Amino acid sequence: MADILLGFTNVLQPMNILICIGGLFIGVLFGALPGFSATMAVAIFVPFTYVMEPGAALLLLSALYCGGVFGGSIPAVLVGIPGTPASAPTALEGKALVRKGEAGRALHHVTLSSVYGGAFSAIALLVCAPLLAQIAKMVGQPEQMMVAIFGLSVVIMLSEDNLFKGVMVAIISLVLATFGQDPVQGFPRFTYGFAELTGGFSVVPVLIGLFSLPEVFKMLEDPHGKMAETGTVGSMKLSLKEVAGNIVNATRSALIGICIGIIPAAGPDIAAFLAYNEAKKASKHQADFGNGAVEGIVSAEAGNNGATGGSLIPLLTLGIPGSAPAAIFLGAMIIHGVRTGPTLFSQHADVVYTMIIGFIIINLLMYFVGMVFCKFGSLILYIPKSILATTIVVLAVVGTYATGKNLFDVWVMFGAGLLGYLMLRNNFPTSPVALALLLGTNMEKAWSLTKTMYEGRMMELFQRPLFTALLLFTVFSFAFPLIKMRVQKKKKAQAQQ
Amino acid sequence: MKMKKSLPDVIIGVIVLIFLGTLYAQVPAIPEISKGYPLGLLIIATVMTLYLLIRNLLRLKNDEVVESKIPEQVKVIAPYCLLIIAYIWLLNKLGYIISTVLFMIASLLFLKLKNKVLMIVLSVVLTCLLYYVFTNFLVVVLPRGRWFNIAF
Repeated sequence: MADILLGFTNVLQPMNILICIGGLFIGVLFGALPGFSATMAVAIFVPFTYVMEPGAALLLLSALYCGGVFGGSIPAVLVGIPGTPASAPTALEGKALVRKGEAGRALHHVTLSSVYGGAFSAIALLVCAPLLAQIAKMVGQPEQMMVAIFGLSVVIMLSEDNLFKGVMVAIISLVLATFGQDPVQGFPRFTYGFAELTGGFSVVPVLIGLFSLPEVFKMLEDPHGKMAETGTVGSMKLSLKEVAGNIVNATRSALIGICIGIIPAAGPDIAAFLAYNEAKKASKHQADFGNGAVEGIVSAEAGNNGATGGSLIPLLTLGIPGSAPAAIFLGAMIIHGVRTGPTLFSQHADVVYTMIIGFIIINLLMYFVGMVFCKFGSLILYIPKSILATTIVVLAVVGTYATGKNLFDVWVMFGAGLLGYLMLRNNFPTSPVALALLLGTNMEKAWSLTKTMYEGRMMELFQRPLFTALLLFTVFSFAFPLIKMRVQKKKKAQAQQ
Repeated sequence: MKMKKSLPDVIIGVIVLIFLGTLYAQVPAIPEISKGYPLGLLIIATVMTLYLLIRNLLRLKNDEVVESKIPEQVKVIAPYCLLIIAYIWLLNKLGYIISTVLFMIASLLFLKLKNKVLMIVLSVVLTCLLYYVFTNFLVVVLPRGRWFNIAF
């Protein structure tokens, strides 16, 4: 308890509060720019922390991380272009709400649910870190494989309107994810002779192209209009009833985010999709999903922000960096002489509790910073489409170039954009591409290693309790929407008779 | 332009099959140990594409004819795509600054922005602002021109 109070005292110092607010502002900007991510924000600012106290340094990095994950949602709502892959499900619903003239409400929901998910995960980090660390210890390659397959079940929900095309797109995208060196042996595959393809397709350029250029091409069809077809951003006010109605959804999504966060190599992106999927399954208004469902936005945002705290649990408790941002945090901690692992909480209690309490305060501050960004960001909707389209292309090109420092990625982004537009115009869903590319490499690696480890004795996999539980979840996740669709079809047919 | 409703799916099916064919052609070069997973996916993808193609070919005969917006869409999007291609191609020939200013002016002209002063000011200011932010704050070296380069 004394350590927690010490943490509060450290965080609430004026200088540290300023660091948190500054970090949040910069993090949100990074998240909002296509091609930039929370991870990049944290990585770029590590050298700046050399001269800072360890506690303040970790507060800055935490604020950048949380702000970065949240920031991607603002352009996702306003122009349908997710700043980071974790905001892709938000874009599905945000665009529809903007068209209805409810951008203000959508942005407020995004901010609130991000704050809720982030704060919830920070409290989990504070209260249940040792317990959750035990779960993290149980995660091996078989469990990672099941998480990836479980993640793919989201495709069924994302392409309910055209299930066959959705699954086909996902399978072809999984093939695309195998381009380049195989993740275990390192043999190059499907490179067409291009040295640039040896490392496979980078996910970020593909996602920038897939989500930004189709929007630009749609704008070209009516370049003189404005984004908000109703001409207004709408009020940002939310009723208490509306907020309270989403608490269960947000809590469930935050929990999913935390659980996904602690699994190595699964981060906010996968958490957002899974939380969105579960929200759709649980919703009484499933037909609204894809047409501006607030529940969809709330789940995706609480889910991706829930993963922020979760991803730090294995790092702080076991010393295992399970994600890219966690690895950068580890680097920063080593620089400051803070050793992670089981002894962290006893040897560096002041630093670690400053960071954990800071995570809670940062997430609460994010509400105010987020609302400022949303208020000014919503002005985008009044910009003529001709200017907006031109700016988006330049940002997409420069942002993509910045991720890999090569023009090949920019060509890939352009190709993905063109493909995305053709897919949209021919009723092929594009979200399965994002999901399959995000999960593909991990799935192949986990599958290959599991096969090698359990060659000829696959039944032994069922002795792993977490694997068995995940397998049951996965079977349920694939079967539930299919059964539900069949029942609904039958009911419809009976009603018509 | 009028076309059968299933025709786009037939065309897409054929294109995807050709693409998958190019991947099959590369499979023999992959060592045995690395080919199982992608080959399994390739086979599933091929079966699904063939199903899509055959289903739509069977529908094609009795399918309704619908008005297609493809010609109008191509008319607007194809020239803009060429503009983007020229922009990306010029990036390492003229460098980031000149190619971006040129692209922005060309794009705004194409999209019929009437205010010419705004067009030029916006193109120059946004390009320089992005250059400054990316180079100085984000430490990203933006493309330099092989033919000609402006940097500050």
